[in-house]
Amino acid sequence: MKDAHLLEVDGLSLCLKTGQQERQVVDNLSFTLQANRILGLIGESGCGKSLSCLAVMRLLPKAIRQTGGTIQFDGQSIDALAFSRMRTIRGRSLAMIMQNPMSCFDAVFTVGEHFKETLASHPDKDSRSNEERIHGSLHAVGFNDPQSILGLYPFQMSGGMLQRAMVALALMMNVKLLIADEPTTDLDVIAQAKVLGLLETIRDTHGMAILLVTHDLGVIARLADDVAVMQEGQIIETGIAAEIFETSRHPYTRELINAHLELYDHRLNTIR
Amino acid sequence: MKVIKTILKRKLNWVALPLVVLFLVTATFAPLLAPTDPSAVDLEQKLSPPSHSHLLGTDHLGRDILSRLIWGARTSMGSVFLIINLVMITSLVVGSISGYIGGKVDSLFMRICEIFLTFPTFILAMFLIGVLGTGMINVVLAIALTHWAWYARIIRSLVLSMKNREYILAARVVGTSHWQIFVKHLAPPVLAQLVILATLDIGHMMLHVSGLSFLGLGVQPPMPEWGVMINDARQYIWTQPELIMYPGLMIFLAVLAFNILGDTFRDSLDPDILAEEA
Amino acid sequence: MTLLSLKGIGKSYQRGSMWDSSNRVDVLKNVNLSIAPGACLGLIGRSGAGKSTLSRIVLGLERPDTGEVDYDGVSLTKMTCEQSRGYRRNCQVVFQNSLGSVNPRFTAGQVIAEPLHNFESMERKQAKQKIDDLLEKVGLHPSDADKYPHQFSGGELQRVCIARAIALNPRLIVLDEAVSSLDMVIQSKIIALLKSLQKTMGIAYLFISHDIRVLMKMADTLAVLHEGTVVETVDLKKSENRSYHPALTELVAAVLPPVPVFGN
Repeated sequence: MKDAHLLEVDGLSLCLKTGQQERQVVDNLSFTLQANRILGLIGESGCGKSLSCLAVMRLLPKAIRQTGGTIQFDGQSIDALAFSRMRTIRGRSLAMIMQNPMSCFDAVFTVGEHFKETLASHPDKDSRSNEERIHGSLHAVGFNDPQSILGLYPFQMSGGMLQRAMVALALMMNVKLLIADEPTTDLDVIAQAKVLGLLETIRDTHGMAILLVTHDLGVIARLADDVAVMQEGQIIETGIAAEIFETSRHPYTRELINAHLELYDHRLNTIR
Repeated sequence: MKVIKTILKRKLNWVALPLVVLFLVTATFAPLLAPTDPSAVDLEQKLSPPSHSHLLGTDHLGRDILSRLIWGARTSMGSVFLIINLVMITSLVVGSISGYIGGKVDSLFMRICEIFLTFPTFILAMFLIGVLGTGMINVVLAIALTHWAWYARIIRSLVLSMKNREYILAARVVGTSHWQIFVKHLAPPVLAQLVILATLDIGHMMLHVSGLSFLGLGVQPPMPEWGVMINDARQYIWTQPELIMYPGLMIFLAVLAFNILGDTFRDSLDPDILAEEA
Repeated sequence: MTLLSLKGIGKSYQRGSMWDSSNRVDVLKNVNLSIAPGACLGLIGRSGAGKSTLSRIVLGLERPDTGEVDYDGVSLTKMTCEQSRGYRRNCQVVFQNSLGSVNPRFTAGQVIAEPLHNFESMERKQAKQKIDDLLEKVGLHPSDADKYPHQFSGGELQRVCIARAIALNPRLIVLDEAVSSLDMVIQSKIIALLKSLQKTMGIAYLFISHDIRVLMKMADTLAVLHEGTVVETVDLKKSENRSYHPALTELVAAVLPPVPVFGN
């Protein structure tokens, strides 16, 4: 029996308005995402993957309009939802982490203050104290001394640490869907491995659904259960990750896979 | 040109732009436009109402007010022009050297700037005039000396932020000399920013010029200047208020027009706003 | 003979004010490296290991606190004017962010012409011809010379930067994360371009990257920079059976898998 879709995007179309001209940036996009699974959205720069995420979050820039399609989250249609209702969903059930984690934090507030503010914006009936919840989520993402992290300002933390703190925020609120837009592109390989491992853990132990956007097939190979390949605003192929890698016949997908596989040298295996 | 289009888009500029052009034209062609000699004293005609030969009447010495207003535009614009040039040149040199070279030179120049920044314009002007004497040139010097430091600091931080950009490093790697780097890569955006700042400050400096002249520290009679005209007309404020009103109105309109235009100028060239539009 | 060698390079930075010398951070400590003519030395390390500082020192943009940089056997600090000029023209760079490494007000033609202008006195026609040749060499079209940086895609602009770097036929190019910001397909094309240029022009590369997969494709020798020192050097042309420094094995272990490992 198939799980009910947590996120269902159907026929989404987005248009960019510059001056007098309009340009289609996302065209008839459809994909679904279930709890406990990671959907990898792969495509090159400019294909519209980030905009699609912003559309789901209802955080599109002013110049971009949704011209068609629907977005259903947790059984509820959200693309036409009132702004105030959407605000309660965002942060509580739906969260996003982005490529540049530093820009997601206000530089004049400590990390602890960010956590407290998030909890204050979404009061709920969790019986644990705020402190317990904050410490618990920081611990879950790998910070062994949560108290010391809370007093730090964003500039005192590395990119990898900030990304993990963002995931902790999502964990603390028990979000159902996490959108990760190129979360490791600016991190070095070791920080990347940590963050991707963390995302895998929260999928397995917390049952979170993750929409993982990337331009790197290695990230897909590492984490994604399902894949959707985007090219110029359209999804050209979807499927289970392992099958796509092995059996895809679509020329664009194959081009991406070949460029990716070319990078792997057998000598890597001798350095252990 | 894109700049003119942007300027015309804002309705306020439809009034501001012609005003600015009018003032600039008047200032440039004053000798041709003024009906009579602004210094021609004619005591028999003193304080006379508007007439055929004196369209706005005469002042307390029988001088034609309209001519004095027109020549006054020249004095005001001229001195502001001089001040802006002095300020731009000094601040460009000091700010660029400070920002580009950095280190101890930067510290020294910035301390000097801070010294100048602590003086209020009027205090420094009065000190300078006490030392050098009255006159338009000294007013120009005084105002320039109190304003250059502020610009220099802005230029310095601009140069500082740009000099470690990768395209500057790349220019050094391909063998471009420091001087060439400054001229080809740093100067264009710095100058653009400088011009925007200066345009916004024109109104402010005009007020300083008129203010100091009003206090009797600037232009000396019989040279016409709006601030001086206001001072002259003080004693007649109850009997002939228009004598104060005309020059006052000129100052008000000029400052307003330049401020509005400067605002739009800055908005159309501000890189942050341009980036947002992109 | 080595083209470029670094001996005992050390560099530290001041944190805080100029008059408080107690807060110094050592970025590089006793770094020793050498590059042979026409060879490719790969430099790998984590963020903050000191790679950018090292590249600036190699390029002569910064002076090391200790140690010597020798180009063609002569230390940079002891060069005559003539030798300095020779070093300057023969040591070029391609940075990671192509958009940031060109003046946004310059056309592609002007960007590529800058090194030519500094070192060669060419007539207009000659210079235009040279620029067209360079554009074609990097896979672009002569008509691209009149375009501005924002009119190019990331990959195309990086090609312009490569054209600028090869304009003077340099003997060494420092590639500072030059392909790290590029999408996969474009990245593989640029890597192919760099390899073919190396073959035809005999240029040596100092290839800095945090992605070991790219370095395996390009480099003859691999140097691992860890906390400011070179902890490991691997000759990639030979297959060695030995244990490696943990900094390197950690980097290799963190490499993403080529294909999905566990199906679902």
